[in-house]
Amino acid sequence: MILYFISLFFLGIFYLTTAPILLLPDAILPQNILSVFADIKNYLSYLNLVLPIRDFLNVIIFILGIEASILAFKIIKVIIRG
Amino acid sequence: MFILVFFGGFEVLKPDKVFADTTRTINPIQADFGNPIENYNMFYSWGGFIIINNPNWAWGYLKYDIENYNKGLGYIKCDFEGEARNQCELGLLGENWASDLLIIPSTNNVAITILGQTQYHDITLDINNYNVNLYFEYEYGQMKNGVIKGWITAKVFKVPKAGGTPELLYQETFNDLTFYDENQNPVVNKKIKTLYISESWWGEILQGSFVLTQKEYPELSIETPQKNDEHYKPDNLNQFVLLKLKNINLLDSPYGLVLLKVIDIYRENTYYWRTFWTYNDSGGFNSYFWLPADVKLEPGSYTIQAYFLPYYEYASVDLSDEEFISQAEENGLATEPVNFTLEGFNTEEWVGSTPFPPTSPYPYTPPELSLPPYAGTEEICETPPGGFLEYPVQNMTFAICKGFTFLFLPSENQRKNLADFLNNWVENLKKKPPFGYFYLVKNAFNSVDTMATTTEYNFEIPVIGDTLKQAIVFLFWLIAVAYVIFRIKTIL
Repeated sequence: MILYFISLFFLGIFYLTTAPILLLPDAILPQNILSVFADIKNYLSYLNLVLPIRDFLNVIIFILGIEASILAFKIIKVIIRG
Repeated sequence: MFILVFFGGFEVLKPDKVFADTTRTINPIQADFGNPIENYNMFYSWGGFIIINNPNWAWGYLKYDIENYNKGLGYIKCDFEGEARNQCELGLLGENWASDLLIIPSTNNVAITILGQTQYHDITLDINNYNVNLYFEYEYGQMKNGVIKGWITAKVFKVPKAGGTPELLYQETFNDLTFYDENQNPVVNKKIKTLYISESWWGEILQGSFVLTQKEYPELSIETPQKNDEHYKPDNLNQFVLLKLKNINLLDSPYGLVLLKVIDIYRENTYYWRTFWTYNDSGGFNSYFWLPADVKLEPGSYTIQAYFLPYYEYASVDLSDEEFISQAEENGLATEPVNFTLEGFNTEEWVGSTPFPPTSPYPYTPPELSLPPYAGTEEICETPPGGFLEYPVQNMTFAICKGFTFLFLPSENQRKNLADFLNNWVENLKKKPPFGYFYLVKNAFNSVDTMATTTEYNFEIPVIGDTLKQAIVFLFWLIAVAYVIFRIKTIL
């Protein structure tokens, strides 16, 4: 009972906070952007015939992950040193 | 040349799965008019266009039998000769002159009749300086539940008589059309029967060309070995039901997944399981193979349906059963439901043994999760074995427990309310800017398949084999690891 009303209270606050956003009309992507994704799909289909795109993307994500870790490491080092 | 430019410019000549022996081309601008089934008052001018034989009759038409073709496109180019009463019409006719599509342009509007309903759309056509091109494209698919559905696109262009690029005046696509017969019942056979070209008075049809295709679809069906008596006792789980896939060559992918939906009628259970399927031509581009049972079903009455998806459509996302079924139905790759009585399996060796190993890495239907205990249930508070006087401590504990659970643990309804509130809020928020844009882009990316190797064009591109691709993948990872080693060395 108590937890329920506490949860309701906080949810109500969240709802009121976001109410201005909820009053906005739904987001719609312009047609030309959607068509860009269709084009990407088509181009990737061509590339997939000759290159393993999924693995290539995985490698890129992996490298970006490493770079992000190094950056975090450096930031933490700077913070510790003051 | 102009025709090629026209077709090319408007993507009319987009390649499709067209089989040479099922395609017909009609060229009305030739002496035999492209062999119409009916010619009323039309005359071929040696200048290379069509006119009315006797303008005093004011009207003439050509009709072509296109009943056997479920996909078509084409156009005619008309010259009004600067006379507004001259007319030019292009139509697709059903039974008894009922028009499925009729395009009639005039100087200030174009009348579009679609399945008996006429609409007028404003256009401006200077008939002194422009000719008009009337264009259609249509396709209707397989019969589903006794109904055939399809779509029709109509376009009207004006073309400068002095030469130049055609300009689009009107375009509309009518999707998801259901064809009806004279009694307004959905038809069970193909509806569009006749291609119709007409003109009146002193107008001229200068050009025209139509390409018609008898598009075929794969067909999926399942049956039990003893279909006649509908009592079925397979030898083992590997021979559960037989799947037949006809016209298999029409599929883009030679392998895929089959989802089997089995409804236990009396026990009201529904089972889903999936299995891989690969091309196995049993002659005439038909494939037959057994769909094994993943669960040992009890004897009883069942309804069974199979859904098929070629592999490339399944590659990127793990579809839920409902999504799988929906996609398969959209592609016409679902069987009709088959009722049968299962008398059990002939062999009992499966009893008590481990379940039949799944033929795919995809999981079985996930078990339904039971809700955790909530306030007031006996799972939380242990009921005292006796009355208060005999077991005062247990009773006090029980009372306090009940009190606390009532105060601090939300009931099932309360939790449901909170969950609904939260879900609605989040779902609403996902649609609104700026979050909405993020989710729209994310969803759009989900549709991008990084494994697909088919394109809308049937270009012959030399495909690198799997072995070489694996070598490339190895090279990618080698470079990545080398990069990481050197990168870490720089920061240490």
